[in-house]
Amino acid sequence: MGLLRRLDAGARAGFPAVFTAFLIIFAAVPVDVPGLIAALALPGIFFWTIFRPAAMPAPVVFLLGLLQDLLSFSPLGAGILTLLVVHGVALRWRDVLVRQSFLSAWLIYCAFAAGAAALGWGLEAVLGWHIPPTMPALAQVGISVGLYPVLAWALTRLHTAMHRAELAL
Amino acid sequence: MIRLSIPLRQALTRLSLPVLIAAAFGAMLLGKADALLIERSRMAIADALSPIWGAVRQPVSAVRDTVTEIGTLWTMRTENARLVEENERLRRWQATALALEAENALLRRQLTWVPEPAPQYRTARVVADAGGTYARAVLLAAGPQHSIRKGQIALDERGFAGRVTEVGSRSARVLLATDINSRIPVTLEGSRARAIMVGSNTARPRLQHWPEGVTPREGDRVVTSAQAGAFPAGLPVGVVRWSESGAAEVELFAQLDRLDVLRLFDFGLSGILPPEAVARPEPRPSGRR
Repeated sequence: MGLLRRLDAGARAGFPAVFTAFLIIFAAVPVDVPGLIAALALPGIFFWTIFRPAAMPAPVVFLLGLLQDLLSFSPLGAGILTLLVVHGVALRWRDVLVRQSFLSAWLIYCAFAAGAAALGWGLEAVLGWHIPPTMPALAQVGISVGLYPVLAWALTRLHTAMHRAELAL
Repeated sequence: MIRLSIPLRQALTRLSLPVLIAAAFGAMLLGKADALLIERSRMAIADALSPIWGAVRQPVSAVRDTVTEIGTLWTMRTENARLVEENERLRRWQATALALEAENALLRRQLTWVPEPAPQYRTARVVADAGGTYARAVLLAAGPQHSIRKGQIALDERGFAGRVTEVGSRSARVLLATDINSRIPVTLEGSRARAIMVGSNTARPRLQHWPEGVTPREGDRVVTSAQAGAFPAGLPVGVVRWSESGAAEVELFAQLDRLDVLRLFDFGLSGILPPEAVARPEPRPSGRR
């Protein structure tokens, strides 16, 4: 294998994690939307776990969750656990999820986003030992669900392009 | 790379998820046990990333400015009528203020009044939203040799915005007055009654604990109170508004949804600091006064 080809393969393998990390970092820019960081991290984890699990292994999910927690100043561990649970469940049902149409994948994602927000809310309540308001969690689900089609459309294109490049080798 | 047999590698992959979930619980424990370490690593990451945010911020604020510009053009006519009316009213107030200023100067000359020293401040640019889903805070970019310390008071160009709660070497975090953990001692200017302004993660913090027999009046000006030694008296905060549900709220003067630059005032006060702040604020460098 030539050096260029190896670089190419490395870039393909590292792209999902790096892309999701960049989304998380850029979501921290102030635009006055609560929960944007968590809302943007979830689609990346969900999509790549289903379509490219080798490029989104559990340790990477752990590191992305750590980055999310450190950037969003939420209690440490809450984001990590939420993302890991989403990753685990999506991986377990991968065989079913990978065959879904775009619309039904979106509907399933809605359930995942709601579950993740509920888990995040519960962890915030337990770790902070107070009842957090429910409105930000609902906003987070709304943003996440609304952003998923846009992100998934772009990611699907990238995924097929990467797949084609792999077949050409 | 170490070559492993395929079944062993599969077993390792299967094991990694439970192990990492256990590590997530470990991280939660660590976050509870050593808040200082977490705070330090947070500020280290924020320090490293604040140049990126500084660069990204410009296109973001350009887009936001365009959107607000369109909205402003839309409401220009009504705004203009309102401004003409307001200008008229302000002219009358200006005359009153000038008369009062002259009278004040006259009266001061007859007393031995010691003027308060003008507080020092520095400005810092807001580069990132450091609040999570359940918090309202912003991150400021500061130079490498800044003098920002915990407990300093942040004002935007109109009024009180929040307090510095965490400080890194090149950035600082300001907890906004709207955050659910924010408790600000205030004075109602009409009745001189003291109250506590409690953040609720909405745009308008609530008023609580005002004394018996006094009710905050709609439109009353709210200023900070010097109680507890955390704030100087008289910083402009907002005006009292009664919500539809019958709660006294404060409409802040500061525009917390579009903060660009904050002024950080050093009043040299070391009153109540956030509970996680283990370190007390260092004394101000001598020779300032």
